[in-house]
Amino acid sequence: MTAAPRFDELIHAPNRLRICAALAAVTEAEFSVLRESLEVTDPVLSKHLRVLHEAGYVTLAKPTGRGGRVRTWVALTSTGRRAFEAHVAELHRLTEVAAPAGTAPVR
Amino acid sequence: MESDALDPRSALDEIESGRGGVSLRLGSPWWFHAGLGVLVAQQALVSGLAGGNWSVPSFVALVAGSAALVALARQSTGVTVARPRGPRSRGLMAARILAALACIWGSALVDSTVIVVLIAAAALGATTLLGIAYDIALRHDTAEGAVGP
Repeated sequence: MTAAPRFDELIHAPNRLRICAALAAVTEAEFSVLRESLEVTDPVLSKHLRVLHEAGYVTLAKPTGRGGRVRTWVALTSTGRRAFEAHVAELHRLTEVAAPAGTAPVR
Repeated sequence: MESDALDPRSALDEIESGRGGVSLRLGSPWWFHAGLGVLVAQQALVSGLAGGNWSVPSFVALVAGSAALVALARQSTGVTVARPRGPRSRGLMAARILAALACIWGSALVDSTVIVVLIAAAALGATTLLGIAYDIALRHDTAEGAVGP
């Protein structure tokens, strides 16, 4: 990870951290897959995705499938990916600063 | 806005948890790999036995069939990963492509029908098994937080 460390208050909330971590590992994921992977409820996931979407960190696509079934596809934007990588870099930096001498910081 | 303050170590644990959760969902259905295997096998058969006028339709079938399989797998799994996520998945992706090309080009170089059929069967098996191995490697690489180049 090469992003310059930068703490992001918006990403740092626990559920949003997990959402961003999951989305950073894939190209895109369907809403229900994300909900089951993270073991959160629909309203909780919707609420956090709305916050991330308003910040420009995720895209929400709703193509209509066969029979009119709408599935929501979620993906990190390049801005969101950069912000997440910078936030992770900052967390690693903070962990290393906080680690007592002779102990290994977490990966 | 959510206000639960996380210390950096707990935050990294949350990240690992999120990544680990989605990594279990990665991979394609068995029929995706078998379907790709069939497409590569038919291309190897055409290269070795028919060639000529059949090469172009066979190649079109390979490309169009692959695109259709990708679209169907996307709908089936609800998740897509466009590229390998680490050294193991990169290696297996390269191995799968090389095996397919070796079978397609190799079958064009032999005269025996039996050997061409054996090469096509090998293409089917190798594409399917390497695809399954790729999925396993992708899950490991993702869970460990490996990233592509």
